Amino acid sequence: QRSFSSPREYRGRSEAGRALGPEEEERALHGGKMSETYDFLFKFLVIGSAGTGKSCLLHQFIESKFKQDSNHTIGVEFGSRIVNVAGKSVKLQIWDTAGQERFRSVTRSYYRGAAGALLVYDIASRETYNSLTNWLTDARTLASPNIIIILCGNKKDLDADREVTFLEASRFAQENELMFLETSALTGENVEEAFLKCARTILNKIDSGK
Amino acid sequence: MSQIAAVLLMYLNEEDAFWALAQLLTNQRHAMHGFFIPGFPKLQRFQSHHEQILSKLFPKLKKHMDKEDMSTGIYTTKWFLQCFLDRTPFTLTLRLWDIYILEGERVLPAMAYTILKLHKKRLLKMSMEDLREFLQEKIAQSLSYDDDIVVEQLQTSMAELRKMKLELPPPGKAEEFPKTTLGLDIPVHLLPVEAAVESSVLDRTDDGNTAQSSKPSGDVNVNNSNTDNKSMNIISAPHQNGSSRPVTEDPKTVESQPIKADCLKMVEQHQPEADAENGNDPRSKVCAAGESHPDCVLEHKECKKVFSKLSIIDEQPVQSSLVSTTKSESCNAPDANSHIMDCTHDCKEKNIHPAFRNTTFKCQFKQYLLNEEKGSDSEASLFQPCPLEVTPSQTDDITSSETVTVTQETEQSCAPTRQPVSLLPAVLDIGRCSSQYNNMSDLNQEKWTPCPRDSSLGELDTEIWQSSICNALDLSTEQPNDLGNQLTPTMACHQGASGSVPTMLTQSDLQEKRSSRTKSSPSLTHAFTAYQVIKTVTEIQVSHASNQDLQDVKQVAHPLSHSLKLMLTRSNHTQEERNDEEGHIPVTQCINGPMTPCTNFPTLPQKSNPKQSGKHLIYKTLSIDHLYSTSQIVSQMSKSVTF
Repeated sequence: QRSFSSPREYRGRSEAGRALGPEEEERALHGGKMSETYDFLFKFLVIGSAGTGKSCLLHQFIESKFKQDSNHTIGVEFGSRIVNVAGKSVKLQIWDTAGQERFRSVTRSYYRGAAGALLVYDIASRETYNSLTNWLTDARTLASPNIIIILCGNKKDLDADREVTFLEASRFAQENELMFLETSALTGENVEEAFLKCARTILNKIDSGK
Repeated sequence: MSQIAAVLLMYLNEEDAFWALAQLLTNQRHAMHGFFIPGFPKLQRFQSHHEQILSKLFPKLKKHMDKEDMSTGIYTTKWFLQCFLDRTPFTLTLRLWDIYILEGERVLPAMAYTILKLHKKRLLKMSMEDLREFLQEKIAQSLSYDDDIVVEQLQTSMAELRKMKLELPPPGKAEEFPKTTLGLDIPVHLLPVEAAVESSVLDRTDDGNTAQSSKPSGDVNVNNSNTDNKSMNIISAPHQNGSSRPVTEDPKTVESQPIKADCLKMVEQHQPEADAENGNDPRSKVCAAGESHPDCVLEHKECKKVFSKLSIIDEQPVQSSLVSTTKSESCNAPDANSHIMDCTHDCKEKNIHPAFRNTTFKCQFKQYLLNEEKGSDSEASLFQPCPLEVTPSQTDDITSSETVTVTQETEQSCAPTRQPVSLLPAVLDIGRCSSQYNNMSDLNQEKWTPCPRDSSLGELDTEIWQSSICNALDLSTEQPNDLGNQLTPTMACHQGASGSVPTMLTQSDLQEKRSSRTKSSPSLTHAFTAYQVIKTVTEIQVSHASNQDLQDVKQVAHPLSHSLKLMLTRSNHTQEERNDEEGHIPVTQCINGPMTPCTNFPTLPQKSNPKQSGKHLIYKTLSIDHLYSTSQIVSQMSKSVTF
């Protein structure tokens, strides 16, 4: 029933579960009525345990400010920003999910059609690191096995309280074929890079014809 | 949930905000508990209901949203989960919250419907991206309509949905509702109370429950209801059986006998403890039994006094039946006190309260003492079991009156493991601050201390005692039943005390009172019927609560008017009674005309109960110390009314 001819059909929903399929379509689509124009629209997920700073990462990325009074996310929040990646304007539609365990069942339903994901843990909390496997499994099974995931060790500014070493996390990332960055939503360090790196990888994949 | 708490904290102090949140989560009108428990069953119920509304009323929009992959879950989560906090302009959100608090959850689907209705055309042109942005962000900035218009639209929406019977989603399952009371660990406490339950009482209570409860149970926990029944049973037992030991052979309560045994053990165990602490020699076993009661323990010091006075009292012939009736009265008295404390009305009653309480306690003690002094083994033996059984009820009453956590006291009284003595003395003290509701106790103290009666209490003890005896004698045959009925409301009271949500509980009391009152005074009954009329906007089924509780809760919705009416209607009736209580005149009346004292004494607690119970609830919910200190009127006006 979906009209594929529509110029607005830019997202992965045309083929449920296949994250990378839609991007190829998206290339042809430009936001017709939209005030902003962009070449691609990527759906990003931000996932990870509660309190790891997902919302703050998003806020830092969107507003370039640290979110001081951050609350537990309820359900899912959104953010979007158009970035320039390799000469293409890409709109990142970022779904910031609730990290609390109780929201898992709810947020899982939003994974579909995501092209990329930021998997966030807190370098000062071993627990959040240990649960990464669960999140990873969720993302791969519910979004797409080919989803591009970047592992973000957030709260890099809390280096004094670090419980997860860079080496350990990077090894984990390698084993699971993730990209890896340590970020700080507070200082803004590596935040933009994380999103851009992920977008660039997706774009490369699209360009390479896959 | 933190958002909700934040809003409450903006306008309430911490304690009020806590109780407000507790109410929102547990009471039957809002029952937000189901929104937040794992799986969000209530949220999903509302979301599917919202989709149903969409497909019926806005099929086009629904189709469009489906096409855009805009699931209702994306935008309605915050709408429903926190009643539009963060999703509508703050000024409008506050108004919505006003409506929500008043009307309950029906506002949620109606408001969701209203928003879509207002922007339907615009929404139809939007892509998923825009829809999301619009519904989640732009609307939060401005709904592009004036708040008044939106609220008007909301009203019409509610009417529309009601007509179409889409007002509310289908009732939730039991899992959506809290199964235990907030904050208090009840299960341990309740067991001892059950022991006292008697078959006769049970039957009665059951009848009352069935009659009252045609609707699904209210928010109150089952535990509480059980306690009520139990307590009722306990109280009524002595009446029906007379002085004879209440029969524990309840088919329903298999546990009752062992529990009783525990209670007895307890008493024995506690005896030495109490003695050691008080430094008093328990002269009789009766005394010891009395100690098991929190009341007794509390007033252990007074025991000595009583003993001295007992010599005078001894002369009077005390029948076993008499003793039982007096006990019942004493039981009632604390209840009445509790009600008085709780309630609304005049300072006079409140003032009376402390005195009354003291008198009642003393009466009990005196009874024990009498039994002891008489030295008649038969009576003593009979009596000892009685106090044990009575104890839970009394303790409950006391606790309710003071809004002390019932559970603790009951445990103390009945549970062998615990030491009742340590906790009880604190309760007994004027301050009686052991409970969470310290403020309540403070209030009580403040108000009561000024009363002239208190000062006179010590002097009047003997008179009171006599009066009670007189009443007991006169009423011994007739009253037991009445008393039992009267007592039931008190039982409800203690429920409220134990419950996390005091307000709800009290209403059950009110109902019970009504039923009990009908017998005592028809005129008053009439007045009460008006209360029943009070409309409940939303009918939600709370699985765990009893039917009574539900009804009670609904009635609670308008505590103010209720209490006011009661005051008005009652003022005339109760005036005499108050006087009697204050002046301790009843003795003379009893002697002169048995009829008058009979009516007065038993009725007093009853009459006071309905009002007081209503107030009691209010107090608990509000938990406002200063209200009492300032003026009663103010307290009546309390903000908690909506809850």
